[in-house]
Amino acid sequence: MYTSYGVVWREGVSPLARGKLELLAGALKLTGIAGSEDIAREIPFGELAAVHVGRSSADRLNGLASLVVQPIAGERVTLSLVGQPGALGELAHRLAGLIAVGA
Amino acid sequence: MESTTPSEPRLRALLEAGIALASELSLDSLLQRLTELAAELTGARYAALGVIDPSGERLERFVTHGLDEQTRVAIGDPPHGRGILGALITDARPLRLHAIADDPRSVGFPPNHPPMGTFLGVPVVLRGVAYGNLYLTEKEGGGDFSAEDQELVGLLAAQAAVAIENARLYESATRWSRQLESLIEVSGTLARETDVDRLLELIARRLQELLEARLVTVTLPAGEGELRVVTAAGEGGPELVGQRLPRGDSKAGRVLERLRSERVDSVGDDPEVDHVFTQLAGARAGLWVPLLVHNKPIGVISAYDKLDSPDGHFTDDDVRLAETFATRAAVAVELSERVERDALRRVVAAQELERRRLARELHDETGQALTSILLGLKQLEGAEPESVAALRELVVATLQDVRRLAVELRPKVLDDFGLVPALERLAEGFAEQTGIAVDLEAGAIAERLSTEVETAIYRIVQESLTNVVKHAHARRVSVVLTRSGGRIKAMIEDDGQGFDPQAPGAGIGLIGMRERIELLDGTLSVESTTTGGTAVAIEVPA
Repeated sequence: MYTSYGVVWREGVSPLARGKLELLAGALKLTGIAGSEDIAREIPFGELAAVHVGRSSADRLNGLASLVVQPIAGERVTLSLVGQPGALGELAHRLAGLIAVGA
Repeated sequence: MESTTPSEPRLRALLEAGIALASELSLDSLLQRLTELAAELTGARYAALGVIDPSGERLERFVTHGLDEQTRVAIGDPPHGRGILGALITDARPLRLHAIADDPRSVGFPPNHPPMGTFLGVPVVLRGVAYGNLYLTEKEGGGDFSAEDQELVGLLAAQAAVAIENARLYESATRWSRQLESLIEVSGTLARETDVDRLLELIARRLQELLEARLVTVTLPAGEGELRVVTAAGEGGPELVGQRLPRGDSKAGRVLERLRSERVDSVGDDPEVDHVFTQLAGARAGLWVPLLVHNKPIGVISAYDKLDSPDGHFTDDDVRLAETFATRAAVAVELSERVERDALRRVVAAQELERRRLARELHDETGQALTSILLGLKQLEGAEPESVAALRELVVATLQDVRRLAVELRPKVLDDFGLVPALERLAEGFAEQTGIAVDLEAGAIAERLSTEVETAIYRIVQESLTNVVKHAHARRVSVVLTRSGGRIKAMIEDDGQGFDPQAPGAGIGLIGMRERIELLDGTLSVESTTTGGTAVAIEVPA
């Protein structure tokens, strides 16, 4: 099933970005804009260590619960969904499954 | 003065001929017998009977007597109705000639035609309608045909006219009977069949049979600027189903625009015809009839190449028949769409009801429970301050999440205060989360609208804002609501990168929004360019 999500995300301490998250056949892809810079980031599922729903204050983005994606190497990516109520848990579940297969 | 009263033996022969003719059932045999009798009674070596087609312009049958098979083959095609024969078609009066070749209207004979001199032509007329002509040549003994011959042949011609008219009436009655049977069948199926594809198949099949067309197709709009063949009956039909035609550059599209039927005798010469499609269909002639519901075009029935016409041309009667079927087809499509719309409307209403129920549950029940936990934890502070504080923080955050989810599912403010306050909250939250500035202008909507309209506009603005984040790379969005002539208009416009609406797959994300707005008899349009900016415009009755 192909689905894309509207998201706001931050990688490490980089500026907040906004755009689209897609789950491709072998990778998670983020495309969008941060400030005035276009951004495209693709992380193969095999390079991801873990994913969880972040509800602690450290994990939140603008006070919103987030999806925390931790790569095997590199900065963690924290993202929150725009619209699509209740889809965070669903996305975390799908991504966890894909990481398990990719790993 | 020349006597025109036939002699008694000839009258007797004529009477016997009449009795013989009355027992003849086949039109072809009857016309052949009449031609032979005319030759016998007048002493003509050659006789022929030409039947004019219903258009009145040419001969549809040409029965001969006196020519052997070999000569007929050597002459080739029967006459088309030019020269002396044509003169009798255009001027239906008896004509006697001493020598055909001497008449200025004569165009001569084709190669291998036997020489013919004397001539008698008598129109086959009944109640002022010319059905054809009886032609006689080469009277025995070399003499000219007499007035009496003319009188006798006139009597035979009258019988021929009755026979031809009866045959045409019978043919017409049979045709009407078949049409009536088919219409009854289609109407009956319309009442019990809910599958529109099967109905349209039946309509195309029956129309193809009745029109005696090589091919009949039904074409319906398919997305922006295109039409799609949904069913086809006849030669090559299955291969054409699914074919797409440009709405602005095809005859079907033109017929949809003009709301009237069109007949084209030569599709190759008509610049409006989509030649790629007609070549694929192998068409020479065609007719197109719009499917209209309350004068709104919803599709087109097309027929190609009438099989019993040499050039494949259709007639005005064919157009009328196709229009009768088009009325049924339009009802079928409209009924099916109405059933589909009603089902979708019920689904949307059920979805909103469920969201409302969930939102209430989350807000009132789960939220209240978490609040109670929070109050209880407050009382425990001091006992184990750090762990209690962490728990407290978690509960506060969860409470916020629950409230936010409830708002996202179905904002209470939409039910309690209406569309504009709900959009203000939505715009504020969206800007805060994404950093995209939202300018909302909704001053024109002072009073409450129906729940259906408020919900639809709210959801479409919400979906549009999500699309802006996903696709536009925008910095700013404006949402403008206006009211004009009993209609609410909303425009959601961004300053992002835009897209090519004609590109494959473009606009797929808009299907749900469009369906939602069409349920309310509204419209949705999108304007975008790759040089920047996208505008989604909706319009709905207030």
